[in-house]
Amino acid sequence: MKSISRQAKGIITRCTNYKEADRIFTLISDNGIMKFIARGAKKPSSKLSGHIEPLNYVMLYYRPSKSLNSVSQVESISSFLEIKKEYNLILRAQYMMELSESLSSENEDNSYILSLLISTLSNIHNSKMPDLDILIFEFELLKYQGFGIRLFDCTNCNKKLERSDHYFSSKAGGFYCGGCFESKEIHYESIKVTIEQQLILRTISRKKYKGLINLNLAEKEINNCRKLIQKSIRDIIGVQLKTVKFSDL
Amino acid sequence: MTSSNNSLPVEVQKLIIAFSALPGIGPKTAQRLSYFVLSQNKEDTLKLSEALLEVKENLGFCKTCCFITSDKNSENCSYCYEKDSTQICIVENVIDAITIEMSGIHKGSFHVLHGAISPINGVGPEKLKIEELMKRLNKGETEEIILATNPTLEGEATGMYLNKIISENYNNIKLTRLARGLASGTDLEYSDFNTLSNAFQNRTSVDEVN
Repeated sequence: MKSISRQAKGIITRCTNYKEADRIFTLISDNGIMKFIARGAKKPSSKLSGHIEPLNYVMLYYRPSKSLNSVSQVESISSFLEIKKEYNLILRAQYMMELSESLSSENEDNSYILSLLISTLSNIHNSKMPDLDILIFEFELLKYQGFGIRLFDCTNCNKKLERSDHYFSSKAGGFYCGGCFESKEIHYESIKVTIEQQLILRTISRKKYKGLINLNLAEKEINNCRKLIQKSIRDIIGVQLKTVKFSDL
Repeated sequence: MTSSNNSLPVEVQKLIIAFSALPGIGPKTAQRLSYFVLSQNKEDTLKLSEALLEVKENLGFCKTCCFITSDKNSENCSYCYEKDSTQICIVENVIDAITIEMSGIHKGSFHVLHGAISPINGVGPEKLKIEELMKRLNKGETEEIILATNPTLEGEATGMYLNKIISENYNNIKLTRLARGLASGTDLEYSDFNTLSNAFQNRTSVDEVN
């Protein structure tokens, strides 16, 4: 008996050619990571060919299978054409897709991650500071996964942090106050974070994104914040993402 | 390899593993191919093994254009000598160069990159044959470069990267790329946004076509 056709919506993150003319691809969907095979998609006359490309937001129909779901129909919802015109934006988009992929799992509700990815990809090409959009994306993603950074009090003594430079520990998931930093032997795993960088992170955590524009942010400060978040991501995932070395950090 | 393979003779197990390493061949197909080799007569198997050995022993990649060559030790292959070196067509893989060559459209030389930039797969510009291309351009013979990378995300990223470094360092070289748009035999109805957008941007006057 033939299996019933199902529908999925999401962003294609990676494609591999398979056999003569088939393509295997990964999709970040509402239902987590899904893998598909598009038979004959490499042929120029194929109705699937142009749609099955990384960084395409697609709606597809497929027949479920134990191994790879077989695609029968694809429609593009958005191709993020503006991103595809700029080399640096492609690198950043690939980083975001790899990060979303590594924090998503199969057969689990993934609608928040997908909508966050779509909204960031939709805004990034118009943004004056794409790295700030990516920082917000990384911050929100970590918070959603339950790894939010404690920004307002010390992770050791729980005292409210004073307005000064503090030390961040990705393993502790937040900052140490001056006293705790001196008393603990954690110097090797901590990063010094300036008041300005703390202010950026706190403004993001309060979701006052418009306030960030008034802060007159320097690119260097944003990149330092991203380094800090990426350290947390590496500790959570356990491996360095392949795309990290291609972003200009 | 499945656990049932452990009961097979070591020679067969080794053959299955070797076939499984080939692209597009899974464990089941590898088993079928191995049993086919077992059932073949000795001469046919020897022909196959000799052909494989000859490919590895006699062929290599040209140090200049990175295309397949039988002159492994010389700087230039026969292609480099025969073809017009003022025009270089940059392709991702050897098979792309062969396809263009078979069509007979391009009279100039090729440069094979052996891949495309794909950060998500860990492939950066340093893993491609870009250094070899720069050495060629430094000779000052090149007048035109045709970017013939695939119209995929990776191919476009590679094209953009090459465009940036070539236009920054060699402003006297004309840089072109293959036209993007609708392919012959396709339906407009099923075209994706990227293809349609390219087709509209690169539209030509009807007089030009005729």
